Amino acid sequence: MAQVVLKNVRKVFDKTEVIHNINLEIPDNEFTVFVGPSGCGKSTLLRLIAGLEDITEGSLHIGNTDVTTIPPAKRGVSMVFQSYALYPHMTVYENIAFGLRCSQYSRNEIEKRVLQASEILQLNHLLDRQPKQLSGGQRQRVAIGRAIVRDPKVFLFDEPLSNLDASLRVKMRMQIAKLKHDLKTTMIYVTHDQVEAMTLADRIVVLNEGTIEQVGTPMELYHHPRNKFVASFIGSPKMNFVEAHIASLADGNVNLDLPHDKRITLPVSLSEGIVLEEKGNVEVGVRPEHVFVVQKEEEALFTGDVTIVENLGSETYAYVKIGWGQTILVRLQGESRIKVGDSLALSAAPKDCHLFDTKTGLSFERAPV
Amino acid sequence: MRSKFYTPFLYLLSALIIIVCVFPFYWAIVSSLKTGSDLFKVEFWPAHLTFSNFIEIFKEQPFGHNILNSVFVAVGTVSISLMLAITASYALGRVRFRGRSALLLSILSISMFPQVAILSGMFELIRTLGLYNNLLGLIFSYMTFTLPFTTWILTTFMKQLPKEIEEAAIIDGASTLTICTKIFLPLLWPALVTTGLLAFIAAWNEFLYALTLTVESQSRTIPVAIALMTGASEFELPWGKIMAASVVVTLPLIVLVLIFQRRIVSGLTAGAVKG
Ligand SMILES: Nc1ncnc2c1ncn2[C@@H]1O[C@H](COP(=O)(O)OP(=O)(O)OP(=O)(O)O)[C@@H](O)[C@H]1O
Ligand SMILES: [Mg+2]
Repeated sequence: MAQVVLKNVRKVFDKTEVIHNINLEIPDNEFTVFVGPSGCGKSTLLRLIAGLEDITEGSLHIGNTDVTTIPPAKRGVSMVFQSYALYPHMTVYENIAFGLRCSQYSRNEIEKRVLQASEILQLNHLLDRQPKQLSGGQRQRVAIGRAIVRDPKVFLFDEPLSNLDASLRVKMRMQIAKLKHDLKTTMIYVTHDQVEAMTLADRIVVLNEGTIEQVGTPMELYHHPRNKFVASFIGSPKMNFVEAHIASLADGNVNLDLPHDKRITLPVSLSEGIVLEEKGNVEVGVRPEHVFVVQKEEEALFTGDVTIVENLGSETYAYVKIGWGQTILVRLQGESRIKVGDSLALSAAPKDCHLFDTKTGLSFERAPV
Repeated sequence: MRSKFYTPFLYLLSALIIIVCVFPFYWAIVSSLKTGSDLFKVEFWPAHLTFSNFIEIFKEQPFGHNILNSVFVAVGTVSISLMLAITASYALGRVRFRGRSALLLSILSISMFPQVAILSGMFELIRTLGLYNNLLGLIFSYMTFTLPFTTWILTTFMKQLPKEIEEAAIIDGASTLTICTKIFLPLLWPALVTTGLLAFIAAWNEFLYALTLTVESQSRTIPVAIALMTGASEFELPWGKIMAASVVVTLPLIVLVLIFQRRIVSGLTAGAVKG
């Protein structure tokens, strides 16, 4: 039982408020990922939970205990740092054992646990080495080992893989996924890597400038972003936004004018507080993977000339200029023969289109997928 | 091939520097092996070698006692200064508090005071404390110059240690004392050796306080003992013996530096610790 509950948490650094009134419940045994742009307060929030920073206002519960003013060691958390933060003068064994020694475990118990952890992380043959004799991936495994031996209630990871190269990152990501499966502990993971967030998370918390934009499972965020910020942050490459004019409104549908005299009808459920005005402006959001090429111009939603082609072999990305000074990105399967300058007719299913208010950036609710 | 052309000059220059640095010491050794009027002959190797100077300095005065005094004072000064400096530098380097930089600056400016300026005040203080003619008084007064620079240097090293290592230890449940002794001390070890050695040399060579604060020859330290050596008559300066004494007291320093040489070099780059 170790859910983490933040209530009205604020953090002020020398007069600037960095975390604004955060309310968040992280359920027991879930893998929660914090994502957000650089400087939005992900690390700060994690450090508040760890106890490395004092909470200026509000309260924090881990399990059923109020830990707001309890020192880090007594919170039952352990943390993996981006820079590994291994003790340079100790061997791998001593690094992993240090926390247990501080907590006065018996010699046998320490040995048992260290060996068990090194088994899980495949560090057995490295136990006598010093950190400087290890590769980046091995160091990060030691850092994780140091965290798991203490059998914490909550694991905190602050961008643990961002110092590793791409292929190692994929390997370590799988290792963390396995760890998540084996340990069944509450885990909080900070990253700004899309793929890490989408693949590892049970739930994602999207942060922006010290506030929570949205909390949900990866697929909830992907299909039902609450606003433009979340829509553009989740998914890679990011969602296209196209300006559109509201032509008419009729029973749960809205007719929109698009560039080049194209028209689209989208279903909307108008919940309270959201008003669509005729003649007003909205933005249509559609992901590159949901845009497809059509043969007939009449069936197209967008038409225009290709300006850039990025061929990745497995897929091809084309930037298409669609009028009103706007460009959209489209993903095509496989290796495409499209060239710069080609004229393309593009379409997307209405169920894959999102609708955003131009002024507030809030999304209009869609029917569930 | 520029380098071939310059190499001889490089050697020449190095040789020159070594001669300038080492020659006085060589001369001292040579002089210490001579007696009487031989002393004033210019010879690079004495014709009549004699060790009588070395024997006499221990016979005619409590020179052995003086050496022990110096060892006691220097070791005491170094250990107390390091102990205080480590704790002070932890606070100054790792803890954020109001007036930290003001404190650091005042420590630095204190170390700029000339010794003479605080001599009379120190004399009164030592007398009041009842430490006059006492080695503890010397240790106390030496800390006025060793403490500022040991604190300052250790603070610089302390600041360079990565914050994450300390935080990892905090999360691991280490107390402040454990962090200091198990994490910071081993990482600062080279820096400690370097500063400790500097403090040792400073205390070992100190003259002014030692002269002012001691009266009996039993409680003198080496520099004072050497300076106050007298010859057979009032008008004779016992050069041979003075040189012999200097050689005897310089050797431990050289041995110390050689032992810790590799530590000193790495101490100067101790900031490069990385996880
Ligand atoms: N010790 C500090 N003192 C003052 N301001 C701080 C401190 N730590 C962080 N901040 C500020 O708080 C804000 C959030 O920082 P934080 O490190 O949490 O960002 P982040 O989301 O982790 O970013 P990144 O993805 O770059 O790691 C930043 O604007 C930063 O300047
Ligand atoms: Mg961060």
